[in-house]
Amino acid sequence: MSWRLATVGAAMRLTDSARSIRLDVPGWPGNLAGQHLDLRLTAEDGYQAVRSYSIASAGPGESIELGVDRVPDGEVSPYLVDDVMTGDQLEVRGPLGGWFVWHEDDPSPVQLIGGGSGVVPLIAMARAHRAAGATSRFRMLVSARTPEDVLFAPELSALDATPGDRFALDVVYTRRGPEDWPFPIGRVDRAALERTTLPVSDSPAIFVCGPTGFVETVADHLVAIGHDPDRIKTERFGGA
Amino acid sequence: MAVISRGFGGRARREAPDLPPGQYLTEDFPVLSAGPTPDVPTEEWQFAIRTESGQTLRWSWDEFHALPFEDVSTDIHCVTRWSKLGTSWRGVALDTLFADVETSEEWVMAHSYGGYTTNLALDDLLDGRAWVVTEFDGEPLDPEHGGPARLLVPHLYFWKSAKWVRGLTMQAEDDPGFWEQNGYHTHGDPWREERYWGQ
Amino acid sequence: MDERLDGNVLAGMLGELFDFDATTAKGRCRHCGDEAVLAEAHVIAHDGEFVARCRKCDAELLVAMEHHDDVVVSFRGLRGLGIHPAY
Ligand SMILES: Cc1cc2nc3c(=O)[nH]c(=O)nc-3n(C[C@H](O)[C@H](O)[C@H](O)COP(=O)(O)OP(=O)(O)OC[C@H]3O[C@@H](n4cnc5c(N)ncnc54)[C@H](O)[C@@H]3O)c2cc1C
Ligand SMILES: [Zn+2]
Repeated sequence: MSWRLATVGAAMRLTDSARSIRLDVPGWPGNLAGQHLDLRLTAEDGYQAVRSYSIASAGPGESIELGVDRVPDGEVSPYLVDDVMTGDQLEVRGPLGGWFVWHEDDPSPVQLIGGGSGVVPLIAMARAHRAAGATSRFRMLVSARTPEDVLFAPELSALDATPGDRFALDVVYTRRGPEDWPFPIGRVDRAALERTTLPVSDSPAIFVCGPTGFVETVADHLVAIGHDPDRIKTERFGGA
Repeated sequence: MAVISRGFGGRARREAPDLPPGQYLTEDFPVLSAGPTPDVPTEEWQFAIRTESGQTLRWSWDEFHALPFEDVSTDIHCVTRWSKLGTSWRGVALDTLFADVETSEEWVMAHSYGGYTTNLALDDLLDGRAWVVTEFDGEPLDPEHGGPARLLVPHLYFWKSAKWVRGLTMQAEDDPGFWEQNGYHTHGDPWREERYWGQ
Repeated sequence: MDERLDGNVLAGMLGELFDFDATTAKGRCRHCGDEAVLAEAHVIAHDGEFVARCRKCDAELLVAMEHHDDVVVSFRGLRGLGIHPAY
């Protein structure tokens, strides 16, 4: 494993605080849905910072997509969300992690649960699921502050609107919902999970990702509801 | 050689001529992650020195504060490559704490609340080069930075300045402490870049 | 601030040492015997230093550090590490 040169191919705003960044990485061997990479920035005096970012894209090819949400006062994320431009160079190491990964030959129904930027590895899974024409059932729950804070919202809505029941999207808003939103506003709790996620009887493979506190709360509720802990895979992004 | 990312500055830091090799200057307070921060009320705090003969000297928080305190202004160097200049501390010199200690052993293991350890040479702790400090920048040392009390051995990499220190045990050999067992250098002199094993 | 993460974050660093993905390897906690893939360990990270703890008993499983191109990993708290390809 070694650091590879990456060039920013495009950067596109996803929300007020998040950006999609396309990287061209010569020699990138492709990646599975859900994997991440390490990204290294070097300042002119040699100072370096390394952070992990999930890959929003999946499959072969040397062009990959990241989705980065700005952490206020952070060292790396504000640079990626606000400063980086097409043509800029940085280094990446990957693809990384074989655990938090969806394999297209897995026939199980899948429940994806993402908070904030935790949507990033999950959209890679949803994209891989569609690209493979897989017939397994995918259900996705996103937790976001407001409707304007959902990463990849147009794409998720389009997937949701596709006829058939292969993909279904639910959103829980923690601060403010759309007008006339019939459901409670607030953190994902047991009731919200029971309302929006696949039942225990489906024995779904579950992927939970996002801020550490979110992941731990959701995973605890899922176990309390009766899901087998061995069916729940988690990835903690840090923060509160 | 790593590629430089245009416009990436990173955390605020300055060029400084007399830093140890490979170090950057920070205005922040570098902290070393050792796990959960122990919460030690000062009423329960104790500091002890134990020797090979079983002699144990013990100070409660109040007894400790009856000892002569010194103001220490010093640079600190973290193995994670941060240095901070002119930090100010208040505490008791280890020369004072060792005044009545009788030992013929040359090595010391520092023990912390929370279970962490670090090994030191007794020589590195004496002659006005090490303290047990309870104040930083004129304020009581907060738990994240090792409060109520931490070791301060500024001429070595900062992990040697054990946070939440509760005692020192004399040892015959230079048995490694927590970070030293896990890869950091047994001595840790920043000027000689003694960061890892085998360096 | 210490960041609370999990073993997934160790993949890159361990990849510098091994040419397989060590985060999917199953490790056994020396303290309580719990068996889990490394990805499931609790990790506390700060500035290139990582302490992985057992998800069950909180004992230290491994300590890793990476600063610039230096990587050092110690597996003291693990009794064995095994690979069982899942697919
Ligand atoms: C495996 C993995 C995958 C990740 N994937 C993504 C991803 O796809 N998109 C993405 O945006 N981020 C992702 N992250 C988080 C990312 O690595 C950084 O932690 C994040 O961008 C903040 O870095 P920073 O340098 O800006 O902040 P720092 O300077 O490191 O931290 C500044 C402050 O923000 C807090 N903080 C750090 N991380 C977070 C966080 N995630 N949420 C809230 N507060 C935080 C810190 O505690 C600190 O107080 C991932 C993390 C891991 C471990
Ligand atoms: Zn254990």
